[in-house]
Amino acid sequence: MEKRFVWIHEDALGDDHPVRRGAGSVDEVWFVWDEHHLESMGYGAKRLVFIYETLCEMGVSIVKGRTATVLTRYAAQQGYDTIWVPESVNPALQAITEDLRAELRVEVVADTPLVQFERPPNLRRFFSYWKTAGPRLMRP
Amino acid sequence: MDETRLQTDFESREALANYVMAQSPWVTPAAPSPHRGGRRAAEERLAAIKPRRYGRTRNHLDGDVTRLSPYIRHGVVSLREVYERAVELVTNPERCEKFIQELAWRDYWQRVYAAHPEWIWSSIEPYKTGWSEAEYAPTLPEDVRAGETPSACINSFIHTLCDTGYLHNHARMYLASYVVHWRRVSWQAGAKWMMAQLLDGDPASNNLSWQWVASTFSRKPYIFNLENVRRYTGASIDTRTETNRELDGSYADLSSRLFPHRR
Repeated sequence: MEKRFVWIHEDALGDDHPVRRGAGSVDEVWFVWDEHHLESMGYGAKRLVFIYETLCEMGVSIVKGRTATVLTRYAAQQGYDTIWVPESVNPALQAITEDLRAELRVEVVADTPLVQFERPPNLRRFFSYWKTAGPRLMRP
Repeated sequence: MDETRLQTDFESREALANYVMAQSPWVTPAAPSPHRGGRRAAEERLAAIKPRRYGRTRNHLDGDVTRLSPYIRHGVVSLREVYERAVELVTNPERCEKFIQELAWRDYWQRVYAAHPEWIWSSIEPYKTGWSEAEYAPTLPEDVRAGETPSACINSFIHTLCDTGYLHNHARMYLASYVVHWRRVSWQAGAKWMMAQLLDGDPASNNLSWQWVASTFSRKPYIFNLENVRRYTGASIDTRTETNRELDGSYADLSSRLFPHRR
């Protein structure tokens, strides 16, 4: 099985996320303890401990530094040309993903959605969204 | 290899927390939350959910809420996984509609965030309170930050939030409403402060909920009164009139007091 290089971030700390599922334990999975990013997100001390203990239980590598710099340098050292990344709606994480894309092939993997839509739902208010989502979720 | 790999094996939770603080010099140190991180803790919560009772009791501070939100927020469990577990327990989803709707709220906020990232820190619509945006204070008052406001129940919510990193959703709404409408502080100042305390806060659910309370993402401001707090909180919260005077009154009285220029 080919060994893959996976970057996980704080929006996707699940062992069952599709970015990891099926890939096996041979993958290298990294989380970057990025002061610049974590501080800019405004996370408090309790949250940082919560994230860290989740990472320790996952058994992933935690590496300190600026995310894109650390990951591209390591990929070059190890000869990885592709990095797998869980999808996020956070523009800060999307920006880091774009920085990686300048140096590496990036495969962005979405989590299993709560509900599938054929067309984007109306997001004006929750209940306009619920008119479309509700029948899909409430089906016995 | 010149990157710094961090330690992942610790003798105790306290040792882990001290190490995290040492690696995070920008943050104000604090004791860890009683809510532990990790998949094992999430699975324990998932095994204990009561989706039918949730519908009947969710607004009560001692109701059957799941406290799964920190794990959902950080992807330790997915919304779909929680949904499937709930449906498995009740067989017919209609028996836990409120529970499913709560999961859908999270999905909704995430979709709004993806479609409109610019809405996270800017008012989506004007306030419907009779006050202009400029009339809201840009910073959080020190007595709110310290949990020393004139209202005892609000102080209790603030202490729970700051001590545990978690607050029941109904108490979050009371607190947000108090900050924005009683103290006339901008929702952005409140959202930023709450986000820094929470384990589960994310820019979408947190900030857009503050906008919903403020009325910049809803048709009217959300307010409450002391009688409502009494109905949904247990004996552990001080809801005496003499220690919560500014919250006491009918909705009509409070509305005219808080929004005298509202048409």
